[in-house]
Amino acid sequence: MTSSSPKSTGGAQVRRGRLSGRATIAFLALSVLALATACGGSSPTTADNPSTSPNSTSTTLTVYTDQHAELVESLTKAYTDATGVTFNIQNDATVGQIQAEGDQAKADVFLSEDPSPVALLGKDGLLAPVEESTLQQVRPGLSSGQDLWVAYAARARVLFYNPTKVAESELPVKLADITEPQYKGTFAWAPSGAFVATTQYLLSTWGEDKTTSFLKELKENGVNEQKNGKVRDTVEAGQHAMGLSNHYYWWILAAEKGGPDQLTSKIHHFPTEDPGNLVLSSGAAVLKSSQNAAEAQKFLAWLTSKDGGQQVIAGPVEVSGAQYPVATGVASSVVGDLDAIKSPAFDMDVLADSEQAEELLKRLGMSSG
Amino acid sequence: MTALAAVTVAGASLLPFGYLFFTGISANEIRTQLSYPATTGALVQTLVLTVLVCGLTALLGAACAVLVTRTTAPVPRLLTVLFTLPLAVPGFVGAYAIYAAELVFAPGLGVVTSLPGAGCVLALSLFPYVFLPCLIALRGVDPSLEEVVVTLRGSKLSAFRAVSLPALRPALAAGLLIVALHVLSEYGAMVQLGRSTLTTKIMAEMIDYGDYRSARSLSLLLVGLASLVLLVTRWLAGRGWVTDVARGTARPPRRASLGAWRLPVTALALLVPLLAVGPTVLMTVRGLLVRRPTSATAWSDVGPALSTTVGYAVAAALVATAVALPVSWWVTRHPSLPAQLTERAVWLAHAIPSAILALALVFLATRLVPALYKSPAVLVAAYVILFLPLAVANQRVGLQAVRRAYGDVAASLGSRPARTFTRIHLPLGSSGFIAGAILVALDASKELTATLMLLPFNAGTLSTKLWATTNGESLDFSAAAPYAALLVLIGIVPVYLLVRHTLAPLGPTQAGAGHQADRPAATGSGQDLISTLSAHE
Repeated sequence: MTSSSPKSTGGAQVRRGRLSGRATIAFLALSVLALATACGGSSPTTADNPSTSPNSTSTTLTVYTDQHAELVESLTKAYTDATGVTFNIQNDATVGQIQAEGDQAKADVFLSEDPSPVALLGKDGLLAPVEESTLQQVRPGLSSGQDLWVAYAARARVLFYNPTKVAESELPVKLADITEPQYKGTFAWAPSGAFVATTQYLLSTWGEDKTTSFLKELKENGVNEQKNGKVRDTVEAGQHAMGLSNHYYWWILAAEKGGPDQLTSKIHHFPTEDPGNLVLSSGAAVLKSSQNAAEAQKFLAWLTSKDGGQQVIAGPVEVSGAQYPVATGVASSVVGDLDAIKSPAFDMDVLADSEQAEELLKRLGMSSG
Repeated sequence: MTALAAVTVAGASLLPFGYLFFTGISANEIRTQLSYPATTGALVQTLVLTVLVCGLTALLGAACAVLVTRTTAPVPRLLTVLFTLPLAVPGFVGAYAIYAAELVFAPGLGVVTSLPGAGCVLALSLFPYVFLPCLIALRGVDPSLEEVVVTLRGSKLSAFRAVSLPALRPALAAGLLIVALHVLSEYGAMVQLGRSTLTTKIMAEMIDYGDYRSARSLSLLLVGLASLVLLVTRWLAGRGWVTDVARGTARPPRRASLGAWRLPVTALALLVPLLAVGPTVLMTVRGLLVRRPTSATAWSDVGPALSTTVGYAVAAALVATAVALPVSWWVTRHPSLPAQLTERAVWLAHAIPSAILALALVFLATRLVPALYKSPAVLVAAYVILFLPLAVANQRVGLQAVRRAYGDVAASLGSRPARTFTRIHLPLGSSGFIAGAILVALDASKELTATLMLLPFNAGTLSTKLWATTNGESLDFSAAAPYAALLVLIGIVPVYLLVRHTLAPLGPTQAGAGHQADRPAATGSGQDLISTLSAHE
């Protein structure tokens, strides 16, 4: 009796080993299979397909971008068709990701939506200067003053208005007028990057006191809708008579609805040179750490050239997102020529370095998030 | 052995916090941030929203569970599926859909973006996390116990209060923990609903102002709030438990007759899933119908995105299941203080915004395993860290449902712990394992923020593809419709599996699970026996 007990335990042990071993193997096999599916699922798109490109260069550029995905896809696809260079694209990229990557930084090129990410990368010493000939292709005043990034597209600050709520003749003549009593409670605004840039511009031209009292009055008079897209949507819906936003939001909605005449709301550009018409660049830059710097510079040259990337940006809303092309002599087929916008002149790098504006807006309770 | 593995797992899931400290945070930064009125406002709003949403989800979740298990409401199975369905809709999609629907059908109303409105929208999308554990708990209550109370006090209501309500406590605690942490770390939906919380502030610091130091410092504050939630829910779970009374056969609890109220009550209950998923379905169908030929989304793009999504979700579920096991096993069988702390630690990563977690993983991966950065492995690791608690929590419920006596019997027959586990606990506790895996897969398939950062180049999941169609900061439902439709459709599969599993016929071992959802039904001798046995491991 006493001798049989250890034996049976031993037997159980052997069988247990086999059983749980089998279960483990099955589990591992399943895991590997699942991982393989995961990789397999991504591979059709990940694979750079040299066979389909016109010439078989094997260059692949890694682009980090926070620009609208569709615009970047259109631009890179056009470049691949023209040169065979393929792309790895990181959408919704942030400066933080590049900083966190440290020595392992992957990006060759950064394409920003607002000037601030490229300006921030430049300030961190992470950018290589853009070639002079590339900078020359773009209208003056839109790119980095230190040649660290080049503008490839631009957007303008505008006032949306809903004609069923306010007549065109009653609209403010300049941005500063929006704080007048008759506009109380009638307009929306959003603490977006462009709003921060406007604040920074006002600080550098009006000084802190005047800017602060203007912002306080604006906060008092208007409704914070948090996002430019919401400013557009609520003005279109008649919730507000007017809204401070960026031009392209309206054009995108127009394209979705089947044309500008399908929208109730309209775009108003202030009639004279005014901070309410501020033009902000989208910037392209080459990372210092890039192993493909020469190819990256070539891409930037194409991106800003009259017959290259600028044609894509001049195209229909679905590909261009209704941005303004910035090369001299190229106008958008949707929104027209950038020269028609009466924006004041300023240094884009100074504007993008907006810590002062951010601090002020946070203090006034007008920051984003 | 188990303890070592569990602690390793918890340590790994806390690794991202190393990044917060390593890259610098400062108390000064937090102080400066808190001096801004908007940040303190956001902090207050975070607390208000968390409390509001928890209250609403507790009410909705428990009421729906009572309706399905304890009343004569028709088609309880269908109702269960409908009540679980909101889990299939990603938070930011549901929030934007209801916002867009209001703009289209009731412009100027502004209900959805008000604080109470946003609270309701969030509660409607999150209440299944409370509904499901409540459902399990109520189904598991032994009707004989309630009958005893009825004979003693003569009131059915007091029977419910004395027996079922205590059984609901741990279930509510488990559900509310998930809900509260979701509210704390939610970004997309908050933005769409125009709410300012600590997480939206953190994201604004990162994205709008490029101030990562402030973002990390504020994250620490969020971790503090999460710890508070962990404490409160632990208290809510209670210390008492219903002793497993010996019984021969399990039978379902009695149902209260609704009488003439049967249909009105059911109609009212149907409003809940209707409001929760109705707008998404409506806007998606509308988007599919009004699709213009110029809409950029081609159906051919959808296939790869679907297989990528499913592949990652399944991988994450399997890995999370394996990795969660030591933690859930340890805390179930030896609920010592270290075990409990280990289990709670796993939850912390669930509370920080996933963008911060993703940044931490970028930081760690590029330094520790540079070759794996931007490979599926790191993304799967992110999913596992993010959703591990769901696996642990459900495995616990499953393991606790296994009567200790069975383990004791096996041990007395000479079975070693590992064999007892594979032959008894694994099969009998399988429902918890499967439910955990399904929830991990479901959440992984909806995840957006970490996915955007860690996804291999040029790959796309349904979520990121859908996000890429956002134009002008709002979802264009005509371009997004195919992805939204598929996301919801593939979400229905795990939801259905989950419900089928939850509603599996009651076995003697499953009954009683709810009573002890947070506490083992330890009998002195069993406890000792198991400890002695596992000492050999």
